[in-house]
Amino acid sequence: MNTSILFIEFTAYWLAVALYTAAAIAFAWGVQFRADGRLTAAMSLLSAGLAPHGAAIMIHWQRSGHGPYLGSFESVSASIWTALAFFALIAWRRDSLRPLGLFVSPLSFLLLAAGIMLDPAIHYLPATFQTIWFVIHILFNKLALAAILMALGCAVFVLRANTDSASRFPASRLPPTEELDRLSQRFCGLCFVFWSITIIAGSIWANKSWGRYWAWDPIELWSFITWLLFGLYMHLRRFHGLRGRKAAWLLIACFALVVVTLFISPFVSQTIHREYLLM
Amino acid sequence: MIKPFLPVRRLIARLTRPRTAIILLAATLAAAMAGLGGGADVFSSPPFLALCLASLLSLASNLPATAKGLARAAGRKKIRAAARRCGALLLHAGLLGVITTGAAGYLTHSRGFVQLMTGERLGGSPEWLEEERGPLAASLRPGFTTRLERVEMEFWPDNSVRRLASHIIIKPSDGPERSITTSLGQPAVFKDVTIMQTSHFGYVATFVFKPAGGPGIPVHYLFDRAAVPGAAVHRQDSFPLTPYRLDIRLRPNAAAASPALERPVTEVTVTANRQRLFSGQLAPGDHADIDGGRLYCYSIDYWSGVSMIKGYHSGWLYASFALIALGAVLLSAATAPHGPGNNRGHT
Repeated sequence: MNTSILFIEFTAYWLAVALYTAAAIAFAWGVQFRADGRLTAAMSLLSAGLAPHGAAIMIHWQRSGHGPYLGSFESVSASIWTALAFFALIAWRRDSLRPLGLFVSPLSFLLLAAGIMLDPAIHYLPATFQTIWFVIHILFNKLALAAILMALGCAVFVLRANTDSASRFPASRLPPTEELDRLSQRFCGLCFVFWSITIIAGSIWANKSWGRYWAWDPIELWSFITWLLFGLYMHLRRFHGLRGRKAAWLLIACFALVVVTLFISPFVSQTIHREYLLM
Repeated sequence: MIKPFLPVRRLIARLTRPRTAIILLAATLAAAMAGLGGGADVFSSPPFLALCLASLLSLASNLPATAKGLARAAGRKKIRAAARRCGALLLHAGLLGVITTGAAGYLTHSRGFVQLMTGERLGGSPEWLEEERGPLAASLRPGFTTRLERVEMEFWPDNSVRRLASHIIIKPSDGPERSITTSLGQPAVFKDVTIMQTSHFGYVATFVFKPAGGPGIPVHYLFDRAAVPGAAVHRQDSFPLTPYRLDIRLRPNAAAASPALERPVTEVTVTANRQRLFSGQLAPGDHADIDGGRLYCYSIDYWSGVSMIKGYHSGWLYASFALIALGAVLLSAATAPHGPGNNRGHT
């Protein structure tokens, strides 16, 4: 019984990887050859992949007895699902943003496949993690990651559009550069709000678990620096007219800091967050 | 076009109705009133937090529509600009509030850590094992006595802690005794003092040595818990006021590894001047004859690491967080989705 459930779970994961891979190929095809039909097919494949991926997460959840937030495999898998679902919801409503799948889908299938091979073991939920604030902390962190990925996609298209007009990505499919620029700001704004909620919920959780809101833990510090950079970006855009390439580069710097905070600092520093990321 | 996630969209549509927002707000208010009335800890319960989250989502989704309606009704640009200013003001005031409250908390907080043994009473002005306090804070004096009644714990199969709770009897100087429970992730609060269960706990073996014709000398030996389930924990120490040195191996999980079934046991070796005087098992109630005196294994129980904290005023911080959220919602609601008109300095 247990073995068959495990088999179903991992079959579902690999099916999702296959569908995301096919979606990534279709996105690349659609963007490179400016084929609208391919982009629609890519969206369908990506949305279809969400079903087995979601089912696998639910089975894993049932087996482990807790949500998908302990250990690198669960964290990566749930983050990818959230990012893709976020992208799919927006791109189904707004056709012109579908080329952004070119960024989201390859990253997703590569990370998911690596995650499955890395460490799919079940981990037990520590006593300090059994609070709703921890769930809110994790949930909004995943949403922040999804939003910054979308913002990154817009920023990269802004850079491409400004550098090489002859070989740029299909102008007919994408919104105008000014609109992409504005969208990157709005997605970054969303990420800023989600990141703020992540920090606030995390500090409330820390206070309930360890009796302090803030302890200058390395990840807390990196997270604060990232938040400050987001704040700087928003202020420069709103009050100092930062636009176009400069704004896009600053947003890429924000994304780099997000990557450092979430995926690099837990591996190189002694932090309490190692507990859930490196189990 | 394919319309995925239809049930989710229906749920969102229902959640974003103004009537739903009002009902949710009323329900939150009622629950908060019930919480203020005392009794159960309503504020940290998942249903209450879910209610708050749903109310916030519902409010947030209604605010843009409300702001738009207001803007249509009376001078779009002026209303938007005012809302934007107001949002920015609230957001930055909230940030300032967080920083100020955090700084004040750091300056005035005091914190003490103590290892409480089962049955032990801690006075109102205890000596802390570890103490931490802000530059402007005095040493923490809770003003009430504390007695650890019992410790409860549950483990996962890999020996990690699933639940750890201390049941504590508190006796204030001006009132009757009161029983509280503090567990990992769920601290208890009494008279502005937060009583936190830490993840530190272990076993305490109490020995009493009664020399011939003299009074008994009780000594508590504290052990950290074993890293492996059922494994023995070990400690070497002297026995105060005697020339003896004890080598104690405590087997806490009696059912798993102890030769004395159904009760924990110690394996004790007593030496003096490098001479072995006794070596054998002592369970609670057992004794060993040494040099005409008697060494009793009096009890084996738990100790629990408890921290007491004073000085951080959560209410101000939460209010500042709420201001930040409200400011962010106003700011985004008043920002026009299209057109450059919303940005000062835009060229």
